[in-house]
Amino acid sequence: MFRYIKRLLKALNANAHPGDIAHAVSLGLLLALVPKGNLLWPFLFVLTMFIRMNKGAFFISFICLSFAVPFADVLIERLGYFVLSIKVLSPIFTVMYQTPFVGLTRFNNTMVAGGLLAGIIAYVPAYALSRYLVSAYRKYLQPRIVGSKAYKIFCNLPLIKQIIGASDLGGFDK
Amino acid sequence: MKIANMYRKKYTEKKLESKILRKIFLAADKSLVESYIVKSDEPVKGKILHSFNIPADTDKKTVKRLNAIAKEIKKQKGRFKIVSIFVALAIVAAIVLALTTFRNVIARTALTYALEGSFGARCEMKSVDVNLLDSRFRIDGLSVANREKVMKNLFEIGCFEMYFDLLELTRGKVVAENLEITGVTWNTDRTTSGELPPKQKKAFEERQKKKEGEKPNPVVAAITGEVEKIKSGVSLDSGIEALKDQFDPEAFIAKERAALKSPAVVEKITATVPAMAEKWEKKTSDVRKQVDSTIIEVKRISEIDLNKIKDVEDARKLLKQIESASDSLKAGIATAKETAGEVNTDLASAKALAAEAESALKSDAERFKQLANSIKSFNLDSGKKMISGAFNTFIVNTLGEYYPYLDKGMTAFREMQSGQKKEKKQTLKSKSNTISRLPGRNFVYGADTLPSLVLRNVALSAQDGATGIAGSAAIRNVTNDADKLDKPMTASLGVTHGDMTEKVTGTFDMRTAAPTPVDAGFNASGYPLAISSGGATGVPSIKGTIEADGNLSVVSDGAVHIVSDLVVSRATMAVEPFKPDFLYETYRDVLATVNRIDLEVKVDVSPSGTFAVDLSTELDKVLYEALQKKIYQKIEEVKAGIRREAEAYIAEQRAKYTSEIGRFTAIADKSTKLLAEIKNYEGTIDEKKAEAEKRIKAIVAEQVAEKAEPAKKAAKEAVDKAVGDIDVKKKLKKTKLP
Repeated sequence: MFRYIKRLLKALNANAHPGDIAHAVSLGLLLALVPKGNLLWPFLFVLTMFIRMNKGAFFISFICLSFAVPFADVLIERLGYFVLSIKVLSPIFTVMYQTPFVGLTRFNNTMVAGGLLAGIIAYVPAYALSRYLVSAYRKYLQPRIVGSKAYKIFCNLPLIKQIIGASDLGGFDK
Repeated sequence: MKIANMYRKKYTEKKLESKILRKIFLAADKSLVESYIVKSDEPVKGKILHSFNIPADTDKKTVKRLNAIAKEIKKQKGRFKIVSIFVALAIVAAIVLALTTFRNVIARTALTYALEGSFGARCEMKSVDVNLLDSRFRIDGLSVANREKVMKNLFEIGCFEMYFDLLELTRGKVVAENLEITGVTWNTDRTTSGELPPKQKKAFEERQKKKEGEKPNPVVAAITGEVEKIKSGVSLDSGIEALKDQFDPEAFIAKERAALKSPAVVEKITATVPAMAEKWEKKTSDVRKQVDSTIIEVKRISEIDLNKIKDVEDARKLLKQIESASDSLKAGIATAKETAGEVNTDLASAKALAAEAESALKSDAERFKQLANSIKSFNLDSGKKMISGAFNTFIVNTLGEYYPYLDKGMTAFREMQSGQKKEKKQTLKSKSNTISRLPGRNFVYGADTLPSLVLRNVALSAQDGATGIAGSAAIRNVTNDADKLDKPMTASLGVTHGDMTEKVTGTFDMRTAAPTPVDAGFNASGYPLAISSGGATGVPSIKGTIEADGNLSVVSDGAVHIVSDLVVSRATMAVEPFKPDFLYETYRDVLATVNRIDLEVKVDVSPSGTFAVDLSTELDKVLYEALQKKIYQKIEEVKAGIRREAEAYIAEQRAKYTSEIGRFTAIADKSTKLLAEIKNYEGTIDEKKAEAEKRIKAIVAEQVAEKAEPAKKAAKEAVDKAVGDIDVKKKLKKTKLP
């Protein structure tokens, strides 16, 4: 967990592309929304490994959002039910359902379908919001924090240095 | 410090913006980099170039930072890792290829591991073929060793072939249209040891220990308890014993004993009189000795010839002896008198007891007479189920042996049903790791309502040359969710071994609402039957060949009902002789005519484990009627027998006490005679005394006459003195004696 936090902090305070963090947060949300225990989830997870993004932001967002997502399960379930009930899509679903191995994705489950759709729908807003927040942070907050005495004292604490390698926090030690 | 390459190149305005400045997101970094940008004075191809002018004396920290920025800019590449995707695809392809190539090896390894884990012994397969294109799975030459006998196989399967539905398999379901298991043999020899390596063996043993620690099914435990109770409890002979007792005079008398008066009195006599007899016999014997010695002394004295005594002094000595003997005699008489008195007192008590006993015996004899006369009929109810009673233990034992298997089968079927799976308790760790989500609803598109396990047609065949056992089975609709499949499982099994055959055909309905989960017809024939009498009186030992044809049903609450016809053909029955003879002979004769026994069995096992066995046979009726006829002919004989036995009993009782009374009476007589005898000698001693005194006087007179006057005088004085002494002594004695 420290490693992920360190990676995120490093990326936030370095010249990492804000899209790296924004994609990571969006993908973390997508994977948090899709229930586990089916072939779709590991498939999506493997897919994320081929996307260049900030792994720290990805895992932190995935872990944190996994705790929050169950509160939205009712909505996700309803969304999944709505999608799976669309008659126009029924032939596509039937073909998918009758195709070997596709059934292992459990796409026909309202939670899986709802989670996937919710993840896709939320992807763009989550991306935009994350990107905006990163930019805003870099523009307004980061210079102030770096310039503050309190931060310098905090970073020079031996324990902090030892635990998270504070001297290597991507620009904070400037 | 060496500056990064990025800062050595020249950039057009556009490239500088796109390749460097746009990729710097921190304002401080951007301004730092921008501070080193310088415009070239000479345009190249009409474009103004930009380069970085970083002085050589720039401090290390700044150079380091610039290099770090360059590194961060370099890291910003395209969104997708194209190379990684290709590498991953290559890996997936390699995995698929490996799985395809080694699918059989993988399947064999997985199966071997699973079977060895289940049976705790080596498992081998000649070949395994997983064919995804044909949706077929086949195993040839499967053998599983016996962990108890490692050089033997527990079983071998010649061929296991299953055609599965690939689509369903990809949905995580095992749906097979056909499953065929052929060439099943067991207990075959192995060429290598079937023992598992120590580590695997230990793991298996630990699993077994855990299983053994599980609590037994309470219903099975209750049934086993009931079976044990029947085995050790009231035996089958109670029927014939009860019947027999009615005709056995000895048993009749024994049954009445508690109501008789005489035993108590006789008991009292035999407890008290012998002790008294013993006491007085000894006392009388002692008195006898005393009397005998006195009589001898009296006789000796009386035989002394007084005429031979010439001397006064001798005469005086004799007189003293006579006096002493007289005293002994008187003491003896007193003792004898006292003894005789006391003995006769006790004799009177004993005679009173004897009179009481005689009265009780008379009363008892009258009671027996009346009881014997009152017998008009016999209660034969206890003899109504003698044959079915003999089969009862056989049925109960069979039930006790096979019910646990039925229960295990039912439990396995129930546990197999996915809808009835036990919920596993979550550990704290698993709870903390689980973020519970809603399960959601599953949509079904097209035809799919199948459970996760469906075996539509299963065919089994087994043939063992060594034991001669051959069998086959056809089972349909095996599933782990009968509710979803909405069909009951049907099975038809047949096994033959030697002359014995077993057939079972039935439905096993595990649907939740099924009123009768198990409804199976069964037929088993050719079984040699040998029921031992177990040494019980009147219970026949039965031999023959048994055939059972019936139906077994298990209803929804778990109660089991078995109804079956049992036929014992080529039956021979033998019974050990018992009393009374006529009953035994009748019984034996009826049994000798039987060579076939037809029984109807009804067994009901309740959900709590109690059970009721109801057996009926026509033979019981035949036997009952024959016994009834014979018994009524024997009523008068039975009455006479009871009278005889009663008389013998009375005589025996009388003999017991009369011998004791007689002995005591004899002792009392002896004592009385002794007194009379000793009294006879009382006169003799007195006469002898008188004679002695007379003789003394005569001697003195003679001496006076012979000698002179002085002598006469002296003699006269001596006589006077002697007489005087005797008188004094006599007087003294008289005063001392009572």
